[in-house]
Amino acid sequence: MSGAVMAPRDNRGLALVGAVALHAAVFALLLYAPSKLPPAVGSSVPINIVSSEPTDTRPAVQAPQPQAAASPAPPQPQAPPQPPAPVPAPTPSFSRAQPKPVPAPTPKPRPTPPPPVATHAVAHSPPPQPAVRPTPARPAPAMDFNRLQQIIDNARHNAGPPASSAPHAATPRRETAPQARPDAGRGVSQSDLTGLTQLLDRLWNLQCAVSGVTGVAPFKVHFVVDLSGNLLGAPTAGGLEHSSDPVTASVARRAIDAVHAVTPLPAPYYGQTITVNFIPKQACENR
Amino acid sequence: MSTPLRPWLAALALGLATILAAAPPALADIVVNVDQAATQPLPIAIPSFGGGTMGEQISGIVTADLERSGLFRPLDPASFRQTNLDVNVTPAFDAWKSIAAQALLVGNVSSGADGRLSVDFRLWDVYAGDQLVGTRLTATPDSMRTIAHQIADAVYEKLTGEKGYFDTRVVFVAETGPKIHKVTRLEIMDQDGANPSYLTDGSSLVFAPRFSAKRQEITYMVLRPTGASIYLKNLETGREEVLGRFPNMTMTMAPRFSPDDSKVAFAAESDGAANIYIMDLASHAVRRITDGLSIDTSPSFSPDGGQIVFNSDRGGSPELYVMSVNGGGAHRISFGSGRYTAPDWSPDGKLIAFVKQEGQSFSIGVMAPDGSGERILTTSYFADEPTWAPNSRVIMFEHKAGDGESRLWTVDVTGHVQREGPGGVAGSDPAWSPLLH
Repeated sequence: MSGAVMAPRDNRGLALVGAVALHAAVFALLLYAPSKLPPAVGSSVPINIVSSEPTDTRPAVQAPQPQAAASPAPPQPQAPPQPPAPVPAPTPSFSRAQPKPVPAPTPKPRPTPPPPVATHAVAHSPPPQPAVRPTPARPAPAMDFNRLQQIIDNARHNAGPPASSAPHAATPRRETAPQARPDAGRGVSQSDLTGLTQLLDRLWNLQCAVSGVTGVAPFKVHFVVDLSGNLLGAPTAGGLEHSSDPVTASVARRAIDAVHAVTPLPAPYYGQTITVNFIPKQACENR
Repeated sequence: MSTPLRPWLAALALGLATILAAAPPALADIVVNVDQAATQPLPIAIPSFGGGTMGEQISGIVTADLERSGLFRPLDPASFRQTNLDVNVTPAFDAWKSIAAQALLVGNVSSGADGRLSVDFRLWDVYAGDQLVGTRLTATPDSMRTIAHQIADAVYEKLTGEKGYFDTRVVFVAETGPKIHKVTRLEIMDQDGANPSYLTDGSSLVFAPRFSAKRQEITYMVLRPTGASIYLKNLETGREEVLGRFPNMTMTMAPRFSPDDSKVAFAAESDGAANIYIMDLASHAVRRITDGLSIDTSPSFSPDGGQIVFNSDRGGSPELYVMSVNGGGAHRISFGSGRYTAPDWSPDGKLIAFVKQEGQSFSIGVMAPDGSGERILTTSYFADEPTWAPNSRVIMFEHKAGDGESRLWTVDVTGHVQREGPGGVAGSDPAWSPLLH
């Protein structure tokens, strides 16, 4: 009986020893097996072909703008009420947290055109219209070129007395920004300028790590501030934002973005024309 | 003759004087000089692309690519104030300005009747309200990741001005198995670690893979008891060709393509000296371009093919030298302390990456081809074999931590953006492909 019991135990022990030896042999084989020659040819790993086409032929349509509820057009007032004389704004300290200045009041009521119908008929939609900003009248230039031309024409034809200094009836002098807001655009203090410069320093996101950025020559961005501190028209970098050199175009676009981001500007800047000299090389060196 | 002009001049002068006197006081233009800038990663909003799961995956890959570059800061989708964007409708820019997004990427995925994927995307400059890119990419569904990388490249290029590097691959020596008997195989993967694939079966010791500059080909070395061989492998077809066997040379090292793919430079050791050779790939003719008893290794062509930077101990310790492709005019360019090895000329030709060993630490650095402007980008326990991304802004290298495990890492040329490499795989000897599109 006991012999019958012991026999399986012996077999199990032998099997255990055999298994261990077999595992060791396999392990040793894996570790020290000689390399096969020649090496097997690996599989191919072709690249994927992707075709591209511009979608500019199918421009994005303007999103429908939320409109006030349509109401019957009120009668046009006989005479538009005159806006109250603007109160001279106190000279503010420059701060991004400054609330947006209240624009000059507009006559009310004003007829409201019916809201445009939102369309998604892409194929027939108009080309993309970048956000069109209102373009109120620019401040009149310091010199009235119409009048100058008139004087020159008169002189050229020598037809009459010497030109008078009186304004020509047909070319009334345009109202200039300072005249519309007598205090606006004046009194830009040194601290205002410093604040504007520091803000632009922070908002101009220049990727100095990109090769070629420091080689972009200094450039100017011109912009005009309207009477509410917002941009009047689109600021430009003299066309550099559309440069064929992609690095130059990118640097100029980031500068224009900074100008967008810095507005609205406080009252001292109302009606001002501002030129910002962006100097990439120095900006990267001053990091 | 002059008399009739007098009334003219008088009238003109009077007119000008009157105008100047009557004109309103002009405001002088305000002029501001900006000579400082933020150098923050560009905040970009990338809402999930339309088109279901595929759209989400593509926008996710684009987001990961841009974030990993260190030049972009993808914004948290939870902050978005405009949702369900239509790629064909101009976004509400004020909603994106309010979260300080400077750029916005909108896209949509659709499937055509032929089963091909079409991905439309538009990149918007949020502040200017301009569309910067508007493109449709079309491919088979298995090219989804390639499409995503190409979108990331388009965004990167438009917003930074330099070419992207996301639609690229990396070939390297993968190491598996126990330390005492590691199995090494050539492995290829996308630059982000996706689509890994072995190119060899691990039966031989392989090392030093290098990409062709223009074709989907690599060279690499195979070492057997009978000697070393240089192989050329076409990745499109899988075809392999032995460029040369060098039974009399105890070691052949570091084959590298010329920029026009017509030649391969390599180093070979014989009688205790190592010299640099150039093989013409058409004729397989081999020409030795250095001659001496020193150890000259690691040749790397300049992008114009006219010069070679290499490593030599001819001055007593390993330093970097530049010579003409014909072997003349070799001159030393590294003069700092330590040992300089493994030079790699950047694709744009402006920098040479190298390994510098000082004491017990290894560094990856860059210098101009004339040796000026040396900068150390990263230092660690062990670093080796730098390889450039095709846009010359990122370097991948072998990094070994204290545990002795080799892994692939990346660092940009500023040294500020350093990441553990893609896939987290154990490997060495990386080589970065050119752009695939």
